[in-house]
Amino acid sequence: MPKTETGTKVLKTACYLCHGGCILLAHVKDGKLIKMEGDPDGPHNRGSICEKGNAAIQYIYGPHRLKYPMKRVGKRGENKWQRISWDEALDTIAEKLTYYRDKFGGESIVYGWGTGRVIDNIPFKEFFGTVIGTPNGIGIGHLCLTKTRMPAMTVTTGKMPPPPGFAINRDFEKANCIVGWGDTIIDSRNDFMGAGGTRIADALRRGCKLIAIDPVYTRLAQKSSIWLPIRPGTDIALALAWQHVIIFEGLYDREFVEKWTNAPFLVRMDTRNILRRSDVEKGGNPDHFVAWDTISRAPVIWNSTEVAYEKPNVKPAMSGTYDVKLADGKVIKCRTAWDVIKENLKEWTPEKASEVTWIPAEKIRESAIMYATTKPACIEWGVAMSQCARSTAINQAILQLECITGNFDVRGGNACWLFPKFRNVGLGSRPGIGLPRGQAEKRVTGGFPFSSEQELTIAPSAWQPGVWKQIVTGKPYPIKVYFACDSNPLVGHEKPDRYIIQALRDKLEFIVWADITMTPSTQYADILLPSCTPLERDWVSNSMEAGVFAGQKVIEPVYESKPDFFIYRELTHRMGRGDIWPWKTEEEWCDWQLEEMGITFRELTKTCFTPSPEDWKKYETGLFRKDKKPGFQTTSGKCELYSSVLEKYGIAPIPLFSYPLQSYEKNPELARDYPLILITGSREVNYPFFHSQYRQVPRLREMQPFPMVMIHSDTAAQNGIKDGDWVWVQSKFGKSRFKADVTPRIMPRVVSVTHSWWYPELPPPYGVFESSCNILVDPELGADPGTGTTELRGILCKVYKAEGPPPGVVDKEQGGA
Amino acid sequence: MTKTANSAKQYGILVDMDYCLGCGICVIACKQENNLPPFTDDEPTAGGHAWNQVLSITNGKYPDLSRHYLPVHCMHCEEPPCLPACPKDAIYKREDGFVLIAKGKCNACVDQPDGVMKCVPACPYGAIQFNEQKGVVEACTLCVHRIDADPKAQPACVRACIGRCLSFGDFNDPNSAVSNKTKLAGKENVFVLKPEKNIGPAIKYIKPKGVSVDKVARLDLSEKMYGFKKQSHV
Ligand code: SF4
Ligand code: SF4
Ligand code: SF4
Ligand code: SF4
Repeated sequence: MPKTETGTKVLKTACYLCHGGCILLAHVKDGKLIKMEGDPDGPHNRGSICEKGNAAIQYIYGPHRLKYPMKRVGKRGENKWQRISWDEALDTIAEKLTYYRDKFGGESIVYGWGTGRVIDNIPFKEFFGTVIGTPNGIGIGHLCLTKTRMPAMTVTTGKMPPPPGFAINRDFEKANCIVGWGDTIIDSRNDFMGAGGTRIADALRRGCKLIAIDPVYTRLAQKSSIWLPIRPGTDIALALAWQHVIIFEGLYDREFVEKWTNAPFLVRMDTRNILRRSDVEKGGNPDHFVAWDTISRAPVIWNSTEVAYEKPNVKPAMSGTYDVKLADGKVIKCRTAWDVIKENLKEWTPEKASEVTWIPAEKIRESAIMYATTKPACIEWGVAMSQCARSTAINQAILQLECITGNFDVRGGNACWLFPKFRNVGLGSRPGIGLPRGQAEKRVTGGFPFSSEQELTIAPSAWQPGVWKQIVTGKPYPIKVYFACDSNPLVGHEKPDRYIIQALRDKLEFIVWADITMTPSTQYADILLPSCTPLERDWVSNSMEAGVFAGQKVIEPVYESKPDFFIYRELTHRMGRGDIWPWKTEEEWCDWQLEEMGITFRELTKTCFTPSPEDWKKYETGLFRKDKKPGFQTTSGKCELYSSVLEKYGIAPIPLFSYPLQSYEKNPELARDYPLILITGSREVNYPFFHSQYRQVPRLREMQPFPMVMIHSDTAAQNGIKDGDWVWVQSKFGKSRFKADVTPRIMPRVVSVTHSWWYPELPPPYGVFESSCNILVDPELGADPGTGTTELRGILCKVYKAEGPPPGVVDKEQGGA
Repeated sequence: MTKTANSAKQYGILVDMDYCLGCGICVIACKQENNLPPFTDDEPTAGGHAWNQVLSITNGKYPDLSRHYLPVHCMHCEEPPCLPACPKDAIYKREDGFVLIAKGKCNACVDQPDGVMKCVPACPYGAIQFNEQKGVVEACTLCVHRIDADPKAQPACVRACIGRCLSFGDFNDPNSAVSNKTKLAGKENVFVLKPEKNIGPAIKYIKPKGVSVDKVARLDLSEKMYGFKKQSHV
């Protein structure tokens, strides 16, 4: 423990100012936080601390904190408030929620969450599901790994037995090759589940190889053995080319593919569908499949329930075309799934992929070989893969790479951590916690199966763009109430200047916002509740990196702010359902979650972290399945390289390439007016924030005072733009202003803009649409057929010089009001 | 002009450039530790104070690029030219190498005939910063308060560094962390900025592997990323 000023206490806590994962030491004097340092014993950060942890003091004590519960007294957005008591606020909310639930049904109430305080979303979901009975929870899940990476895993390697934690982590500590696929890891600083920068630097010291895939020469690329400068939105082509090299050059893990995947299953050549037991036997189980046994030279049934062939000593064919007799006597030709996969891959040579991705073919081949032969290797997939309308296919293709190279669930590879015995809360977590019967069917799904189907995802949630539209149109049923916890949709959701602003300003009848600070969106609340930061409350979480974290309260909540825990507890009790929320204090609740682990919250705060048990290749030991049979928790029990589930929902069972929805190939006309490719949300430009948070924290804002657009020097010159100029970025859907970062580090035809910008220094609504990357994109352009992911990256745009910064914004360098 | 005798100890920092990620955390950690004023709330561009800065050096054309980072602050020089430049004798060098500015002595040269601060231009690294709130100049203290309180402590920037690329110690002690790392890297791979000044800067750098020193050791090649109020190094 470091020496400190007298009277200073040093408290260990886990940090959750991003997605968490660092263990910090909070120096507290007279009840005030005076310093934050990294804990040298923190298993991931090892003493380091990022800028957000560092600046926490300014965030906590800053003037933008919401101090008291308030009710709106002017018009929505007029910023006129009256302080009220917590009792009045909670009574009013309970009364209104009861009224709307009973009169219009639970589905007329929507709840929204963000990423900043994820741990508190879980009780939030319990409350709204169980007590209110609404299936309509909205966040940015469809743009995030929860709705994109997890589904790929659900259909390929199966649903994890609960609690799932985060699906596929990567074991940076033991990897000999790390691939940052559209993920800058270092640029995201220590965030995203644990100390990315520190861990990458340590991996480099061990001699670990790095492969960076990014159109921008990111900090990760700068440290990499191979950098693949990829054209945005074409990642599927690269993944298919890697598969091509790995499979056709014999670099794949043959044993894994033959033994554990469904590659030997037969696919009908007439319908191109997987051959099901119901095809060959009348009344046969459609979720059982068929392979060709090379010993008996006959079809053999794969019994998915038993996770075994129905005959002993089967040697399934990996390749070949076979005649199979159907239940109706017709004989059809079938091929193995492996052959079908290979047939699709055949054309995806590095040369072909090079034409599409603009990466030199040689680099594609070299990197594929490096990934496949440097064992163990892990892939860190960034949200670039989760923010395009091809997210199901690209996420599936990357996961397949992990599987066929034998890097799935091995030490140093992409690991599925188990969190045994940690008691998760959430819908369905315990008896009586869940949606009332009939309510799930009312969810606004946009028709996307991953929003609606329990079998496809761990926690289905509504399709957010569809919900905003429905609030405005009132069809097919009216939505009247919005309750937001830590959400900033005007800044963080797609196309907020169309439905969202209307919904908040004119349509919704009652809006509650629980947040830490005032934001552009909280301006539209009827009742504002001051939440406290993670450092002002006790919490435990297993949703971060490979273990269970404990965050201990290091100071009392400032002003009258309260933990979200308190809000849900009070509301459940006020609405007569105190039975589902029996815990009186956060600590009691934490103790309950930890109980079966045999540790109390206080005990856990000695380290603030306890790692997951080491357990690898769980498909061999049965830990992946509820019935404890070896295999995977998929339909077939196999690792499904050919997805029977996707096929069932009318989605291509294997990843197929398609161009971005707006591209030179698809829209040559549009490309004449909008000749550049836009990416949004990259963190390469000195990004010290977390999504829409922290713009008002002086020490962070100083690191990036303005929203930036990265432009290649040549492109800038062609458009008469100089470094530091204010620039309009315009797409077919809107235009917005950013400050130019003219650099050689970005692909000449690509521009990259900062996401989720707002100007807390301006009067409300804080310049919300002035520098918004989200008004440049539009969910109505199209979405991924599985996940409903919209095209946030890789659309067409143009840039031109602006007269100056947005009105009211002071940029000393450039003048302006 | 007086010359300072070589001190018995020479504390300093060794930067291993291969692992510097250019994240700027060293700057923000210093600001927290030393309570440096940020910009004001309504003027995010005014720029806050910093005692250190991170520079980047980019070479090449897309996609054949390289980029490296240089954390720069007061070098606690063996023969600091800032010291004799001060008419108030405010700047002094301690036995253990720390170059410090005495509280209460500096008056930002307001009483000088030309009213111009003398130390600021004397420093070849732009390390001396004017604090207009206090009316004095300030510079990196090598976190002397931390080291004096606990000899095993490290400066705040070293402690926070995300890349774990900073080492702190006595360059004159052959067994210190910085001496050991220097040996390990090979003396020929360790460089200082502006060696031609011959003032013995005690912030030293291990050059990135496979890159020649002249590609990364030049301040005039660099772009400012975080820190120092003005790009005062040129
Ligand atoms: S770096 Fe500059 S301020 Fe520091 S000791 Fe050397 S000359 Fe003086
Ligand atoms: S500014 Fe202060 S320290 Fe610098 S020369 Fe003048 S009096 Fe000395
Ligand atoms: S040693 Fe201390 S004073 Fe100097 S730059 Fe680092 S943190 Fe700042
Ligand atoms: S904190 Fe460390 S890694 Fe980051 S810029 Fe500073 S010296 Fe480099």
